[in-house]
Amino acid sequence: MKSALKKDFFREIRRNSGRFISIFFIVLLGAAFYSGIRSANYDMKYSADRYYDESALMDFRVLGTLGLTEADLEDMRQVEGVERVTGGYTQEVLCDTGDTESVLKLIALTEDVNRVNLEEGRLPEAADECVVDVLASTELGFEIGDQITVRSGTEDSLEDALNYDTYTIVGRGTLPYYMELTRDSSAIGDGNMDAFVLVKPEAFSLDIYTEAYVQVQGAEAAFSYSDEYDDLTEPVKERLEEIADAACQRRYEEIRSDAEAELSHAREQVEEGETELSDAEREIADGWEELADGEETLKEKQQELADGEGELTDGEAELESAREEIAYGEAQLEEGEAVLVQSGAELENARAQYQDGLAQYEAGEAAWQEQKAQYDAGAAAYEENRAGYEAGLAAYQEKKAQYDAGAAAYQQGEEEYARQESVFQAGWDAFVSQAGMEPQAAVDLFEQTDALRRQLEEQFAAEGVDPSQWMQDPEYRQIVESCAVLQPAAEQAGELLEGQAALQESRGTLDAAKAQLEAAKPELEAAKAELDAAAPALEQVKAQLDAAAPQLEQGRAQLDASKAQLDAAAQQIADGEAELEAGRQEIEANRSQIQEAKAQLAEGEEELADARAQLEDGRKQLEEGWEELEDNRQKLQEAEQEYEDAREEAQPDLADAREQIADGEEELNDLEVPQWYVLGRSEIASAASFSQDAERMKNLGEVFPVLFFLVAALVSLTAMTRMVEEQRIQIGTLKALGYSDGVIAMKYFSYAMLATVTGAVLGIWIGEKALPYVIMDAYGMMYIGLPAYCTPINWDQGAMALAASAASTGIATLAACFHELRAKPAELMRPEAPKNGKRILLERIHFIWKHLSFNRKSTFRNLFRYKKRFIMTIIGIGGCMGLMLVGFGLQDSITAMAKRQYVEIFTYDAAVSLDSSATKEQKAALADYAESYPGMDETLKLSMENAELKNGDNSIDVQIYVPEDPEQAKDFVTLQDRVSQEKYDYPLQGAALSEKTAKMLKVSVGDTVEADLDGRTAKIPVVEIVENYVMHYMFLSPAQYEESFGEEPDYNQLQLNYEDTSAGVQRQMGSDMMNQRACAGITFVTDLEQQIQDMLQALNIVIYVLILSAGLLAFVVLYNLNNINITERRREMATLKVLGFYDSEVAMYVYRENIILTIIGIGAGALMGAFLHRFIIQTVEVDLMMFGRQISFFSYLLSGLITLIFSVLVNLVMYRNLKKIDMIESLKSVE
Amino acid sequence: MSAYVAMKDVTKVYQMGEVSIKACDGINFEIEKGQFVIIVGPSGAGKTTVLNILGGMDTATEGQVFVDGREISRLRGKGLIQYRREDIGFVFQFYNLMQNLTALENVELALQICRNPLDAETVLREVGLEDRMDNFPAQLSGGEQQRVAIARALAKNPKLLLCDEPTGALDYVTGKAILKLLQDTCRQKGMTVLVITHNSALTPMADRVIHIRNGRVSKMEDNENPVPVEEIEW
Repeated sequence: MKSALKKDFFREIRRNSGRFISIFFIVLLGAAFYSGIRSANYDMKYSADRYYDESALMDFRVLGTLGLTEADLEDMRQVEGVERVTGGYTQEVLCDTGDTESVLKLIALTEDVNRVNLEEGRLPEAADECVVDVLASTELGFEIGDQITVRSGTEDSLEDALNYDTYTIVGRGTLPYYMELTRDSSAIGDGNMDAFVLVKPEAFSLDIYTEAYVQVQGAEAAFSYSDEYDDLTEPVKERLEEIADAACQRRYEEIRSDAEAELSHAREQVEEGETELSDAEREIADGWEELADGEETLKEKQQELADGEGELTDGEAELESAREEIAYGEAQLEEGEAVLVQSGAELENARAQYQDGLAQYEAGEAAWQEQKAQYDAGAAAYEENRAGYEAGLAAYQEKKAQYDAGAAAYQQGEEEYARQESVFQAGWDAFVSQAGMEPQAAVDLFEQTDALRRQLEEQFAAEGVDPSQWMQDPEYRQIVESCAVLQPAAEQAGELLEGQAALQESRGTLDAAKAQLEAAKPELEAAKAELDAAAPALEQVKAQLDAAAPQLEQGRAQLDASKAQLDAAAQQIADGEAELEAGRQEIEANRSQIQEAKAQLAEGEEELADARAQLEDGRKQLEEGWEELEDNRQKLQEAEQEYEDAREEAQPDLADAREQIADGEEELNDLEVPQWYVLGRSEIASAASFSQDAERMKNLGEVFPVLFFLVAALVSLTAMTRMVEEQRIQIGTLKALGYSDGVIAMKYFSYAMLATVTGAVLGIWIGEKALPYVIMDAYGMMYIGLPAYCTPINWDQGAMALAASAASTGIATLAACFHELRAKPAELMRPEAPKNGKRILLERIHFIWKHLSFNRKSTFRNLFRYKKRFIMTIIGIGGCMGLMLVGFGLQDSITAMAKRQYVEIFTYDAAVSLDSSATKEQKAALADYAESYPGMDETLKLSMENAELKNGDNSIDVQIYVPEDPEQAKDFVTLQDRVSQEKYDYPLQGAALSEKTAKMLKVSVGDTVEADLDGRTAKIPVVEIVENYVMHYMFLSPAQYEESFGEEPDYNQLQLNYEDTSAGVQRQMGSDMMNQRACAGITFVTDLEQQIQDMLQALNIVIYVLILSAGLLAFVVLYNLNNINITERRREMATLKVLGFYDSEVAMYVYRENIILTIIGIGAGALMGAFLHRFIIQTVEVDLMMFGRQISFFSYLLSGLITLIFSVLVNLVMYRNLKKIDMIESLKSVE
Repeated sequence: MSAYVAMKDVTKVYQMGEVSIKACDGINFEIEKGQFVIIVGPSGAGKTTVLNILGGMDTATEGQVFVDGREISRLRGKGLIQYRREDIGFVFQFYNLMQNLTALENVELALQICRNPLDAETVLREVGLEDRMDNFPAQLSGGEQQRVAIARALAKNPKLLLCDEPTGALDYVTGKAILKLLQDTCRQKGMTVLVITHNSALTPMADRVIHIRNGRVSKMEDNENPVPVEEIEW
């Protein structure tokens, strides 16, 4: 593609993403559904095959009617194509579980084949452990850890086949050939095996295998359900069957020769037995004689012995007393020794205690010494301090005393001074007042006067005047006179002056003392303070010391006390030791005494022992002799008894043996050559029915998805065609530009392919992964053990879906392209001439047409104008409606089945099966019991037997239903025609056949069928064909039965009708019935109904998938078709808008058509659905069942409604698009 | 306010993503009742936008539009539809007939939604299609189809007949006939007719010619004596 075109291409996708996405999704849905549903078949088989491979499921199971020997297995191994042959043991047993009896099948575990798939627990390790069926835990309530006890269900004892009768459950598991929820039928119990139990082969005591499992070379690699597998295994089966004859013959010979050997051996034994008997008789007689002789000899010897024994007894008595003495002495010794030992021990103990005490004391002493030393040191220090203090104090006091004395002297001096001063002052004052002058002045005056006198004297002396004459001189005389007067005053004054000086001197002394005192005072005070400070510290130390002193005292006292104690103890110990020593010596002395006595005793004993030994020998010999005699006598008696017994016993035994020999001979003559059954996987019930279910899905896939796919393809191709047509002008332009047709077509083709292929691939992937899984999951409810649901991509289905999708859209696109391209570019450039309006058929019917409103007319014309779209829409809507209807219809059919079968047809409430081993009386008792059971309305005896019906090549297993009273039967079973619901009478002549049976046999009323009842055959005309859904039945009257099979029916069932069918009542009734001897089991219709419902649940889920898918498709298809419709008619819509139509009117213009189309589509879909449903029902249903054929009105309504709702939804979505249409579009030229 | 139809300062801006295109850039004109008006201009001048706004198919971004005294530029949604329904007759270039309906039915289609419609058959007879009433559009020639379209528009008895290039898809003769029909309708029924064309040769036939260029009215002229269409040649 050119790049411009490429751009255009991608823009196209982007611009028209709605169209692209819708094609994508439609194709996706179609491809998903188609490939998914169609893959289910293969995927189911594939998953099963995987499981089979993983668990190494056998390819063949070979059963021999007389078992298989190792030689048989070896022969099989030699067969060409056989990979492995494993021998297996199985045994059916009964087990009581709760109030019912279950049938279990014990199977020996095998390693290389049929491996158990453990779900829980472990494999058995011991022979009495087992793994039980998963079903056993759900149905029978077996739990891991439980013990199950089994018993034989036949006359043969359990030990013949098994080593144990009780097994401990250690695990739960599944076996690949028991995938279904039901197990095989059984030969014992109620005829149905309930569960398998896997045990180790060691649990079996069988010497031959009951079956063999054969694996074929290359079969594991082959797909289990393929032709390849069949081609591989079929020849091996043939070859196995070929060797079977020889092996069987050999087995026959073997058994025969064994039996013959056994017979002759038996005969010999009988003869031997007879001879033995007579021999024994003779021997016994001989024995009696010998016995009598021996008795005589023994009696003599006994006398001798008695004598010797008397002597020995005396000696023994003496010895005994000596021994007692010694023993007494020894005992005392022992006692003394014991006491000694005890004292020694006590002493030792005391010593140890003393040592401890001493050690403690010494430690205490050391500690005390240390404390003491500390105390002393403290005391010394205190003393020292104290002495210092004292000395300080003394010094202080001395100084104080000095100071005080100084102070007192000073005080005294001061007082003296004061006194002298006052005396002096008084003298002074007196002098002053007397002399009128100061003493100094007086002194001075005298001295002056005296000096004058001396001057005069000297003068007189110098003048030589006699001293006496001197007095004549007046002056002198005056002077002397004054001197005289003055002298005393001067003297007094001098004294005064002297006193004053003395006073002043003492003042100075006093002041000096005072200063000295003043200076000494602070020193003294400091010393005082120091002392005062030191005093309390000292006091404290003193107090401490005082406190410590008594402690120390006390410690000393304690120590002394303990020392005293210790010393006392030491003394005691010493005493004790001395005592002990003394005791020891005493004992030693005693012991030697005893030793002596003992030696004496020993001598005596030895003597005695010799004597005794001799005697003993004698006695023993005698005893032996007696014993022997007694033995012999007893033996002889026993032998005699035995002989008697044996003879008595042997007589009938021998007779029996002879009889048995005769029987054996007869049996041997009757012995038939055994047969082998070689059963392939297709004959394994679960493998076969699983494959049938898978086939059913395949059948479902034949039609349903195809239709689904067709609808999808149709819609997608329509969308592509429209796209091409819409782009007509663009195509013309491209063509005019010179692009080749191929390139232009390529654009649209690529567009279509891109949407289709991506959609298809994604769809295939989703579909093939999801749908088979959902389906298998649904079927998983009916099959247990499938370990994984494998959903491989099935390339063939995928390729088919892809190719078909691609082809349908691709071809449609190309066709549309080339249709357009055929035209000339010029034509293409012009808008396509709009489709011409045409008169429609309806218009010819004037009276109708006239009465139609204008809108209706245009609607109808429009509908028929676009015929293609009309048909596409009808098919699209109809297809979806049809698919949904099929889904709902299938559900109807299935649910109807259980309801109709167990409510409308089987109108009884419960069925009691009678024990075939019970007597007639017991059965009658049960019937009476049931009849008179409270709440019981009615009971009916009937016979139910399996038979094979044939008509030409068609054969089928049915149950023959024969009521004892055909008149009464109508209350228990309704015979009617399915379609007309016309009730039939119970046929007295001929047979009524269930509908499906008749259909499968291809018989109708008036034909005869051939019935084979355990080998008795009869031709019976069919007179009625009756509605029936589950199982195949032939209803006969007792008379017809007798006529056909030559004997009366064996009434083995009792059907009950009662009032209350609630679970509790039924449970009670069940256990009451089971307590009756003749009751083998009871089934309730409500349970059956439930069972069927459960079983069909799987299909129900598949159906939901169908309905959902169909609904989805419906939506997408409707959306797409509407989209096309609107796109095509944009111009019309725009014009209408311009003309002034309201949006709702414009919408109605389109909707009217859509509604009509939807209604027509629903109608067409209902028709299609009904047909499709009928077809699918027949492919889906099982041989044993007939599904309901009717689709309920409700389903029609529901699917119609869903379609309508989708239609309305789509139209609502479209309304938005309609509103968006631009009116301007109407102005454009037609594109 | 006396004018029957008036556009005042009408602008229309189209927002195309980031680009805004001005289709009308202040259009002003008036039309009197019963006038035959031709709006002429080259392609892309904005005449179709004018028509769309006038026909109620689009709304003006700004400005006022009056028809018969009613301001339709204010109408939105349902009001616009009603306006189209009652007051406007529209004739398309490509006729836009319902292919599925006969000529008569196409006219009836319009009448369905109208309050005072004219009789469909009468109108068809008037446009000269009395013989082709039951024919489907595909059976009619282009001119006949356009006549049906005109009949459909007229039958609604609108206040305003809008014609978008009514002759654009027709040949000369037929085109002339159609124009004559429109002119006659105007003259005889007093119908206000607005024709949009790019063909300026037609202008002489109109009572009023409005020239539009680049989103504006470049010239507006009244013909005192409109020429009958038969006399125009182009």
